[in-house]
Amino acid sequence: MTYTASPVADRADLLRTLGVFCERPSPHIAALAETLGLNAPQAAEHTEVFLQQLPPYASIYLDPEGKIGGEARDRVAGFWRALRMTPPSEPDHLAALLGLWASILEAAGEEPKPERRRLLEHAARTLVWEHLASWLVPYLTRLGELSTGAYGDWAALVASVIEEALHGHARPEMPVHLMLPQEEPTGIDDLVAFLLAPVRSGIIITRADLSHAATTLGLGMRLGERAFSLSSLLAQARRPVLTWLAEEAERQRQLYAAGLPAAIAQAWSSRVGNTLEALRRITPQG
Amino acid sequence: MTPQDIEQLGQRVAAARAEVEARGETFYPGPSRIHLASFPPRQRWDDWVELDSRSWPEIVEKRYALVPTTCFNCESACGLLAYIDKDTLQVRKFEGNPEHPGSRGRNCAKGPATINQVTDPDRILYPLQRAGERGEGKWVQVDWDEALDDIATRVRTAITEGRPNQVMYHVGRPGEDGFTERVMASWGVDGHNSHTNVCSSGARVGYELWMGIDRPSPDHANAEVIYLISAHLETGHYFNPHAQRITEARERGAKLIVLDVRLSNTATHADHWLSPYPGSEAAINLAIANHIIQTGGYDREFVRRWWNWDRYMAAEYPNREQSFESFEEVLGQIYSRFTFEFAEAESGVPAETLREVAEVVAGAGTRLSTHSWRSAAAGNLGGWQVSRTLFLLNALLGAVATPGGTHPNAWNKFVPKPIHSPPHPPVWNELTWPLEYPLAMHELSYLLPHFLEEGRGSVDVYFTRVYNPVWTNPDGFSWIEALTDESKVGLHVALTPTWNETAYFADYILPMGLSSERHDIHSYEQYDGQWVAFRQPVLREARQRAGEVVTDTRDVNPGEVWEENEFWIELTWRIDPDGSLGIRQYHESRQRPGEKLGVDEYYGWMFENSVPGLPERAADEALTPLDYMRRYGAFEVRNGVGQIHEEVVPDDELERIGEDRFGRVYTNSAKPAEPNVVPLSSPDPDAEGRRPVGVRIDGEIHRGFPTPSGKLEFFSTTLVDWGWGEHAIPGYIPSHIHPSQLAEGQMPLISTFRLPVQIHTRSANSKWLDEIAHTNPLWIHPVDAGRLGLDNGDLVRVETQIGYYVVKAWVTEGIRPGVVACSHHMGRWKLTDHGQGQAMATVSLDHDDRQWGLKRKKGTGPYQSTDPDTTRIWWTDVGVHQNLTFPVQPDPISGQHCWHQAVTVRKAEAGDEYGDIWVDTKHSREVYAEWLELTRSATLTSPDGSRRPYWLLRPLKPGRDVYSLPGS
Repeated sequence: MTYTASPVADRADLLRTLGVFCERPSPHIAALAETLGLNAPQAAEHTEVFLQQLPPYASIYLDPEGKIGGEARDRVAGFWRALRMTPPSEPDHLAALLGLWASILEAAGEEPKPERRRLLEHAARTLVWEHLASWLVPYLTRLGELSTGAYGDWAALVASVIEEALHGHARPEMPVHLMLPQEEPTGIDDLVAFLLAPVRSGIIITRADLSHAATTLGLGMRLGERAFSLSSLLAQARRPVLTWLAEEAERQRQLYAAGLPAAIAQAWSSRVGNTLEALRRITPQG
Repeated sequence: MTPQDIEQLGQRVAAARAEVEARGETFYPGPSRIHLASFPPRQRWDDWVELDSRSWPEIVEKRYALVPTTCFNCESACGLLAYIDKDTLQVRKFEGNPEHPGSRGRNCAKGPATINQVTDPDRILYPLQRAGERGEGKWVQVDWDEALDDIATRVRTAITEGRPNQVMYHVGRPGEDGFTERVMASWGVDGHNSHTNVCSSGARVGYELWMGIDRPSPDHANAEVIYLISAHLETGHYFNPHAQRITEARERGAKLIVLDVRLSNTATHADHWLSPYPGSEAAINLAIANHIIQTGGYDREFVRRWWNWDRYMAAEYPNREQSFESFEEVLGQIYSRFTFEFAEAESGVPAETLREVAEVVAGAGTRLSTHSWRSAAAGNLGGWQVSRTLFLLNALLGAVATPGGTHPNAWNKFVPKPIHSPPHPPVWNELTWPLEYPLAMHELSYLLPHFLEEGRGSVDVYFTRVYNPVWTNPDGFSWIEALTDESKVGLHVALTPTWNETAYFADYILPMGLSSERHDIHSYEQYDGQWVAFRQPVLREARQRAGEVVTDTRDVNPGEVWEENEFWIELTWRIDPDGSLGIRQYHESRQRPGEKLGVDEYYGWMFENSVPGLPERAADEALTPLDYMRRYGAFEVRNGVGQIHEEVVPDDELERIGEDRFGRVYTNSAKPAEPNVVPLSSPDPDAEGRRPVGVRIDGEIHRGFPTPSGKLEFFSTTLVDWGWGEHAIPGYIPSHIHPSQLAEGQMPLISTFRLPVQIHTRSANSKWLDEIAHTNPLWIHPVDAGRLGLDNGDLVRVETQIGYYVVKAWVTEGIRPGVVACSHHMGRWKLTDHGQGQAMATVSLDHDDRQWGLKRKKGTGPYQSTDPDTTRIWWTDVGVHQNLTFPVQPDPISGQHCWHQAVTVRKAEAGDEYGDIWVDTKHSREVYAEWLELTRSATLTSPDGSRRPYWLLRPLKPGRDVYSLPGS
């Protein structure tokens, strides 16, 4: 196989390589890292980033439950089906979505009929807007904070590719995932579920965040699911924990302000605003 | 990062990939989500690298050429990719072909198990000739030339001596659509004999009478409600292509209704599983239809436009007003007796459940996909009314050729016109098309031993081709009697890839290729689209890619295994070596007149001239159409065909038209050339000889359906004209196993189901499949088991009208009380240790005059062979061959063998052993005679002096002049 320059094929290879990068490290991926000009990722780093802190599934960040699956995954799967493609078992995994993007670009590149090609190009832009940019803005921001190694650099690269793809194609309307009515927690019992569902609260709280809060506030970190750990922190010291949450929310809002495109950054920021308001209401005064 | 930086990074990655792959290494890691499925990208099929699992833990890369073909293990023709080791040029494994539009890269277990069949240590690799008496089991290897000359001489002699009807070709698994029919036609013999009357012909009659097209094409993927009357949809025909689409529909929320006496694989997925008394399915369909009619839930406009209600009113109610409104009044009365309570009484399914299901069906609108194939339609007297009443539901709701509805299969199938088309043969073979069954859709193949016994004729050269009538057909001992009598069957040539029970009684066994060793072109109705797929000898293609020239597939297949197309061309040339019989011309090259046609030219011409869009698609990749198909294996001709009947006939087809009083339009215009030669019915021309071209509806001439009326035939004038007027509209015919027909203590036996990993007689040499399923116990409900004093695993005698078999009981609530069931895919046997070692018991076969006994001497077990896997056969059981104990039970209209049996089940007697079979073929003759009494011969009923309605489909259609009744 001899390399022949082709902008479409080049971009498809870049997307696939970026997608493969969030799979479990192997000698193969070390070679890909070198090609991308990144450090080779380590297995422990992969486990920490993608298994412990920030699993790369759109549904975690876009579903009102804040978990893998649910309506958000169904919407992503529906997009695959609309393209007459059978969704894989994990249609909302970042690698699958980048692979899908590459495949649509290739299909558009190979399509001889102009009207059909335009449709495929439109589909590619829709994929990026609806199912990638919609959650990658906060996700990659937080990943960049969390990892200063290979994955942090990779996150910056993915963000650049998304940003470049949307250049001139950003849309005024919000992605469907972010059009859900913005609800507020009804009370302290609902608060934990609300905060841990990024599409509702506008913030991403990782295990590392909770651990950091416990250390900073001098509280005991009870290990378990994030909901269990956060509930436990609130039970130990409600007011300081709520205050920390408000500060963290504000901090994340500032981070998103720099994110592009504006409509998506705005959607996430406004959710953080609601969260801050709710936290203010719930936090005991005095 | 700037856009330029990103662009440069993309170039760097792509260049790195090119460099890595140029070294023969893999760039992307294996299991990853970046490709849409786990298929090798087709750009890399020439040189695909995988790690060799057998070398683990060492990392050794294996390089493969991936060559597509299609599976041969059932009719679906799913796509396979053969992984050919580039070092050894041997097939290492088979996986799915993602380029195949029907199977979309997915396969059932039978696809990958093809490798077992290819490497089967017991397979037949060379032509064999009988050495002793027929059935004695002694063989000598012969040259192909010797065998071909002998067979050709006999065929030629039969033809030149005016005995063309003594040449017969009996086919099991279909090969290429129409290929062998054309071979027979070129020989001028009416010798095509299909297995369809033990298979699907009952269902086909029901569909044919409605549409003039004899198979349904349900668009499951887009349905809102899927209504299945079959055990065969997720466990048999089109299992994989249909099951994957049913699953997709269910993921969208579609409802699945399954009528099945057993808790089949399909039923386990159902939202509504109805387990009716067998044979009552049509009564349930009619109760649902009645509900739709009485509640006004039918698509009134569709019924008005597309049903032939006008002919019905004219024939049955000539004195009433001939309006649609008047028909609606009649319709409201016709089915009023089919209440839910009536259906409950027949089926045993509670009326309330039926009502609930009826409302689900009625709510589907035009997105009701329905399917009935073998199952009830193949099990019961009058089974053809099961599919006819099922399609009534589609016809009421207008769910015909709609998204999510049921389409006529011919619109979802593409059969490319071949390079040569010989004329219709000028003879009629009464051994396959007897006068008693003028409405049968297919050959009365399974009655052949009885016809030979009666002296209706004899067969001088009998080809069984991938077919095993001794084992598959009912009444196998009568087959053995016929095949061992050389005055009835002169020369028996078995064309088979595997040993089978019929081949033991052959004079020649000629080894034919498996799915990766033969050519065929296929197209099947699996969604609303048309595709063609190419089966090919994969090693031939791999060698050709490596620069070799292969002109004879035997050069690359194992041993001297041949592919059929080359075989038939060669045999034909030896029958007519100098062309003096006028036969050879249909097997000659066009490029090199006077020379033999080769498969490359045959398919090259077809793909170049008869598959629209393929030449252009191939040119996009700088390939010839043949190279494209050899490389990718499939091509989608059309997607979203839709309602062809609604198409308006263009003016250039309407020259000097005539029209009957019901709007059937006839034309003098010639039929436009059509590259798709899919079989369609051929309604008669009008009195002036003009061909039917369409039907006028509301002033416009539409294409319509290929029926006499051009419309959907709710009312079959054909049935009226041919003496069966009482069944002219969809109705209910109580089965031969209806409770009123059973003697005390008898129960119905369901024998029409199979297990999803086995396929008739050709999977016995698939060790992987046998390991999954290798026995066929008798399903019996705990209530019945308790009544009979049976426990799980007890031996039972199952007594039919002609004999009995001994099998183990499986006590399960997965079957309706009062009914027993036994899968028909088990019980393979051989007479000596010669033959398949896997999944075949060794038996003794004894007879005293016409009383036959078969006794198991030993089951299967581990054995040493070239395949180390045979030492790991841990089971001994291979099941029991129940079909031997079934008499023939031909439906008098469809000709379909009615498989369900009225049996007595009781504990085995002392001395009975597992697998014992006993039959008296004198009783077989008696039962045959009883069923023959039900027929109405064409000599009595023919309205026009012909043997059968000319318009009906027939696999090999003789010339019109020989349709006349003898002596007329």
